[in-house]
Amino acid sequence: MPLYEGLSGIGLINEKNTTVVFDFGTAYTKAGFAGENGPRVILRSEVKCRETGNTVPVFETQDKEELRHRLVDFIHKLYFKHLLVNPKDRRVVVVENLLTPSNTRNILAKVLFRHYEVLSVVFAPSHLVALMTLGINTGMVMDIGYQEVTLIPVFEGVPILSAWQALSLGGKAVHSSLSELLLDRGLSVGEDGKEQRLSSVMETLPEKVLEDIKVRTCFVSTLERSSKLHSNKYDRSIEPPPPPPSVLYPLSGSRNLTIPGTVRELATEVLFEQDRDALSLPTIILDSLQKCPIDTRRMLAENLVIIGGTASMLGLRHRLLAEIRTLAASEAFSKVVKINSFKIHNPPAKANYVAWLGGAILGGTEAVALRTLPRDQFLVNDRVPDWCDLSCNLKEERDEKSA
Amino acid sequence: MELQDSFYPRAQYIETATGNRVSRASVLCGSQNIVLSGKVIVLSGVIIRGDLANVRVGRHCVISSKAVIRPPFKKFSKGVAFFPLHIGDHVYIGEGSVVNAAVIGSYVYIGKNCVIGRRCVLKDCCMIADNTVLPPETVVPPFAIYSGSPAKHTGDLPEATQDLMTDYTKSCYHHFIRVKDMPPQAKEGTTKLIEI
Amino acid sequence: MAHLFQVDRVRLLCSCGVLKPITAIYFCRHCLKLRCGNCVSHEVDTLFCPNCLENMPSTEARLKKNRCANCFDCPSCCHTLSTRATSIQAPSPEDPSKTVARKVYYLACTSCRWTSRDVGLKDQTVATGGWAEQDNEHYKELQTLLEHYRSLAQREKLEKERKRFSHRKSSYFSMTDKYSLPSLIGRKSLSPLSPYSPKGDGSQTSELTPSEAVEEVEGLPADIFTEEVNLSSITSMEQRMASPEWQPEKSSDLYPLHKHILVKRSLRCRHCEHNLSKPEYNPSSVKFKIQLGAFYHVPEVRMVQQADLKWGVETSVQISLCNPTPHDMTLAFLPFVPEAHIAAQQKGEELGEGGSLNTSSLVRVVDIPVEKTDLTPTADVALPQGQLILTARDDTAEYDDQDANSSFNDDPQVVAWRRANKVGVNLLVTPQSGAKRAIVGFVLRYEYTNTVATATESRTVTLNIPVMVDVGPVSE
Repeated sequence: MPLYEGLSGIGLINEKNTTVVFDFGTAYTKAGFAGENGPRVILRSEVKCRETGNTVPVFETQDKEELRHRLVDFIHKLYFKHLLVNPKDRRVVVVENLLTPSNTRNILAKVLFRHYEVLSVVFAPSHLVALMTLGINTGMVMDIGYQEVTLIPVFEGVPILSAWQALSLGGKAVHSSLSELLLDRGLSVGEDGKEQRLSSVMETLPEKVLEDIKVRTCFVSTLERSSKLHSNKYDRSIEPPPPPPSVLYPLSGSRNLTIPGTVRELATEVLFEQDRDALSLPTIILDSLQKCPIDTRRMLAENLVIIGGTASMLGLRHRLLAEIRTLAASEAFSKVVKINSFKIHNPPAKANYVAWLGGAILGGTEAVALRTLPRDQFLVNDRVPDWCDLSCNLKEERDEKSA
Repeated sequence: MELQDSFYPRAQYIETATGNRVSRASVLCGSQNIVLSGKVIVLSGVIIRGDLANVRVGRHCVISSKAVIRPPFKKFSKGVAFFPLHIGDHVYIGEGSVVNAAVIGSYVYIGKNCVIGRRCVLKDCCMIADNTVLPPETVVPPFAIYSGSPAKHTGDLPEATQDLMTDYTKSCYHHFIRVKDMPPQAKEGTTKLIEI
Repeated sequence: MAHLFQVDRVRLLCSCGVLKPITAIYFCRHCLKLRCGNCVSHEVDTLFCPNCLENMPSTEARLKKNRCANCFDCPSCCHTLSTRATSIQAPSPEDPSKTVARKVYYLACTSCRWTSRDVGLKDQTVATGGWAEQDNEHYKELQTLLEHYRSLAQREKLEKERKRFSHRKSSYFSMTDKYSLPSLIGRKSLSPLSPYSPKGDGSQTSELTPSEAVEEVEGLPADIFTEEVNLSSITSMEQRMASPEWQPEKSSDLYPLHKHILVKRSLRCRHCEHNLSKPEYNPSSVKFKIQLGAFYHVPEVRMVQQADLKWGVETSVQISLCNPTPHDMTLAFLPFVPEAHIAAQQKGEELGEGGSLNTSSLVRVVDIPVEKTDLTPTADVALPQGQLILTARDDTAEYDDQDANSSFNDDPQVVAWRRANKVGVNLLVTPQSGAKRAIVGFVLRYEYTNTVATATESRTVTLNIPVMVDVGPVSE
């Protein structure tokens, strides 16, 4: 018995104003309206700095005041250039990582409530709402973003926070590995046709160029090739597999860069190489499984969900599955985690906005009204109640609740 | 900053009854089709192609040196036809710019070395930054700042733009002073701000 | 137009603590205070397409996702696409054997030469409106998901309502209910999102087949190790993000995008809720229904000439003052003390606005935090004493040849020149040693004649504005 009539195509609830859904990322921000099938806009998280006039990333600052200014300018751009609605008196859903620093969350809430006077804000955990796009309640959600990869298992709709895993292996790590490899092996052809090593021509490649090269030419190679390449590094007698063809990439002016084929495959290996703590993308999945209660492990392993911008790289999911299977069968893990079947989901959206889509589905329901933080409650002490904040998690209230 | 006086020798400029000051070193083809509405400054090296189609320039405009004002053409099945070019009041066109637009509104600022593609429409109170290239058939909405090549909408102008442009062009005209003879070392007046 | 008169050189201190040039500041006639873009509230006023300059009502904009129906953008370079026509020979509808020339239309970009034929779109027979929309392949799935969660949320809401009415055990509980103590925040937002798990009566939930996990994912295409990469056939990030739902990876999948519409904003003072700037409805017009910019109400200070400044050397610098109001204005210079100013501002923000012409009783609770800006001047200035009179702004003055300014007794040391409603004033500036740029601060006191409709007769109030002038670079 619906209490409202909604236009199913657009997802308007009877409220006059549709909820706005944001997913702020370090590299890209997704913004749109609740109930829609995709964000209206995906743009780089960059603003023009107030003092210098240069374009700077929004979240890359330590100073609180500076972060507040950049957020004000950025959200202004989002509302008045892309969403084209009044921020005032509209509900907002912010899809965010549970591991976001409380500082950032508080400043974001302060900007939204004080400066833009939104009606209320819901901070939805991205790993949880990602499962809403699949219609399931249990899953191991891995979000591979720009700055880091975070992994939180969710069982029956409850995030198992004690099993969280995070590594700073994301798009940024791929960029830096690509930059290193290119400066070392890339050859640049100038106007005169002379070929030189790239490192003699320029010191660093700009981020945008690196991202473009990564998106258009790089891919994640298969497990067999990678192990062969790896063993070739140590034992030169083993034949490396033939590399993929190299690419001529135009740099500024008439300078071209020859990207050797080996670089194309090797750039993403950084995600799978185990670092000094023996951690890499596949190992954290197994580590997290270890930390989960035993009876949940099978279900979690059969419901892997990989989201995030970096996850859409060619060949990444296939390689990840292969690596996990190999690792689970290897000595280190086979005794501890006795799982041998791993299955993965395909969300109905491109990997980089799955979390946004989950937020949009959440925003399109009445749940927003039930779980939201209204403006006057926030303004009492300028803080967002947080799962890690003791002042709103005291034991007495919980007893009251269950009474 | 207020503008500084800039001087022009009487012999090199024609001053018309309506107050237009046109340099003799400029090339005005088809001058019977060119209408300068009044108090317009045309500096040296400017080329206005009135022979192709009508060109109308509004009041208090400033066309800086080496600019090219050329009416746009349209290809028809039976050949080409040139369209008249209308420029509104209080427009400033920077040095070296090539203007092929169809319509330029009033209170417009066009920077140096711009290329305005053919059949562009620039509405009132907009600004084209220096060195931009506007691709053909672009429409520039009011209060927009376009820059880059190809030009993109990069900024917005303040609301007081109309008065600022009026003030600017009027004071350009006011500070463009005629002298009998130019001192030998001074350059001919180009109404440039003193660069800091 | 920041560079036109180098408007950044002279900046005014807004009531929120930010220094802005005069073109970026608004003057609220009711609070008698300066407001800048940072401390006013912006609202979306009208929507229009930047290409066809047609208005779009907000309901239509919501349906069309803020995009114009008729104008398209090139997916490759984001320039506007123009419709071109060619005529083809096609069999006529009446007589299939005869061929008739018909016009067909295609889209072409003038700046990068992309055409709709490049992606395989067929030419349309109508000039506008013929281009079909792209479909999102997951549309149906997402609709069922949305319906499913909506029904779950509805159930949860009903249950909560029931619980609230039946659960009246402890009075403490109902107190927290009524008075929204912080515990309530914790209780509400920390309640897990777990009610989404079906509670057993699965009969009420809609038919939703949850997504099935698969064993294998698609691996790399086999030819990736052998085929040459053609960079121009792969899209870049900007091209992909331009259509977020589809994000085509190959250039042959790029579809023309509908043009995004622009917005005209209206500005409103946060304290007194009056409009500061309201543009007209027509997109092509540059007039305003309400325009309360500081440019029209506050005397404008401008530098006249660049002077050579050296450390510790007292130089004479000229500034010009302009009176934009239709009344005569008396000006005086006062020294500027940054600390006193910041303290006064913060106090003013805490107590609320006093002494303003605010007649409405709705004072907003939410305040923008006062910004802290660096207000220390790097040069000392000897301000002229005494008052200056500026004549009213008269638009007909340019047609009058007479100079009626001789009636003012101007101290020749202070006033350098006088023209219509402008006055040139000499200041003596001494840059401090070590300063890179000489920044001078002073407070301008002027009389403002108010013409607000609420006042019975026009009142003249004396207002003070702190001004910071960047006089120029200093050499040793």
